[in-house]
Amino acid sequence: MPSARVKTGPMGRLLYKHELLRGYALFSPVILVMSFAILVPLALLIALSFWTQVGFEYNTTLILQNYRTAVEKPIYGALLMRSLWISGTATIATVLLSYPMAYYAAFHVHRHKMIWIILITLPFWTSYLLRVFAWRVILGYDGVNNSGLMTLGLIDQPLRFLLYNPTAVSITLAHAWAAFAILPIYVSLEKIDKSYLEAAADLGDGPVARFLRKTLPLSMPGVISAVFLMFIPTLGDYVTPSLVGGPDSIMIGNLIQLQFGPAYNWSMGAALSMILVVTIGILGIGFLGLIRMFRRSAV
Amino acid sequence: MDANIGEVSKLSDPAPRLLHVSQMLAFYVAGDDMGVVLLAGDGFVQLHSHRAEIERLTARLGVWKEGQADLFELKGDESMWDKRYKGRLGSLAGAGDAWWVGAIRAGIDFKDIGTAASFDKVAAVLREQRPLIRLYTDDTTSSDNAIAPVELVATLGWSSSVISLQKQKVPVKFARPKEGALTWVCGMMLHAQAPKLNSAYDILDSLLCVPTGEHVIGLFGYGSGNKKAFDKFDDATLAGMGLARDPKVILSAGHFMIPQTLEWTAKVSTEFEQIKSGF
Repeated sequence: MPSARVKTGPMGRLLYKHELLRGYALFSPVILVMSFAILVPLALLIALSFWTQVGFEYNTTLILQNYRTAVEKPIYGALLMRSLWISGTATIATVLLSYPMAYYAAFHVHRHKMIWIILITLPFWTSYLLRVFAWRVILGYDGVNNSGLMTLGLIDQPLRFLLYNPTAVSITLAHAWAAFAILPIYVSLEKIDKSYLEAAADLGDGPVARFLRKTLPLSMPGVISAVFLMFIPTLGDYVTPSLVGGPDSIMIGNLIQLQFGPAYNWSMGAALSMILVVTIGILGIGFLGLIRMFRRSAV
Repeated sequence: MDANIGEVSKLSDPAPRLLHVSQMLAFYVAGDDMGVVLLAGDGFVQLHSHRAEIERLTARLGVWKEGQADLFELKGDESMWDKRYKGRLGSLAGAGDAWWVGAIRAGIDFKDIGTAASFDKVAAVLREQRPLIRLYTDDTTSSDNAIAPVELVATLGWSSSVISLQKQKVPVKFARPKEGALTWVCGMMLHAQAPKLNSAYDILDSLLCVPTGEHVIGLFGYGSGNKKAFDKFDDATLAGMGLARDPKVILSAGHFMIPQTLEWTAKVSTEFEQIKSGF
């Protein structure tokens, strides 16, 4: 019995022949949405950053005044550096703490794995704000830490350094974004072909060498994803420093928010946002470059 | 952007311009934040003859924790610059509040607050205050959580904080600064192209009615635009909230915020942010 032939038009034949084209066709809805939802606003933001705010109006002459101000006034550079420090420490701490959890879930949990994953992500089912506030309850003047220490008789007065400082912001960010680090690392570890590890063991690698030579390099995509997923959004965060940071922890995000709010200088806010975007871009490229160097040297 | 008291009377204009309805909200919101200085607002808005002279009182007061008896004896804004309380004072985070308290501290006549010299003076006193401040916040929960366990001994806060904390048996009090009241008008705009401009009267009526006044006084410690609302409370209760039965008693001894330009507002906001950041 002859098989039924499906009639296809020229476009269908074209897609059938070229796999790459099929890929782009599948991507096209996303690309379309991304173009309108991200690229257009980004273009507007770039244009806005070269304008200047005059009261409620804009001077649309393209000049570098906002960027010049950002360079000349020390506050902008200092807050950017502070943001990099806070966000960087939070990211490193989160990845370091998340890796063992992801490792355990990937290699040592064999039954009810999904329940473990759900349990790991359970705290993240609540609002971000609630999680930040929870840390105030823990670190606060009459919070869990201080109350516990005083009840145990270890301190007479509540410790004041626990809250309203950059460390408190880093700790809070590290917890609040942990799920975004655990999951990509877990997925990356889960995908590792266990026969590689068995081969390494057969060839004489001990657990540490096996981890450093095989597991860690093979899980680096997950680690890199975790770093980016954590570092990029936390660098521009302004809610956490507002709630647990105190005056010494104001970040660049707070300043950007100010420009779009009370200071009513959207052009300056746009310029600061662009500086942040470029900074993230440079650091991201640098980070990927370092990883590539690390891999080459390891081979 | 000047908002002159009485501008609401333009509502009766058949073709109102962009209307600054600060007054509408102000005599309702009454309250707001405040500093060491008693904040209270006054204003007379001529709407119609039968509404005539609407008074509103805004009062947000410094929150003080008892047990620091000397704090209550301090003289007004001086307390917020008292180095003995370094790291145990709080402030509102917005320049719209803190800057004016700084101006009083700097001895600036509010008429001159927009000058460059005044700007520098206020910035200087706020910078002087900066090392003493543990927490800048406009978040009531944050300031309440800090004042309740005496993490802060004093803060600029909202009057609702005092009412709320007192209801929870936390011994806090309003400050009684020598400077008297700091008065102002809050902002609210009615767009020129609003489809039902005259509906603004419904808002005014609802804001001015006695039940609304009773609610905002009782729940938040704010003032009311309706004198009769104050009659729902006895003198002791009003005094406890830092209010007087006759708003003019408070209003007659204060400083009235003068509406400033957008440029000025933006400039002080940016400067205050720098000060808060330690620059």
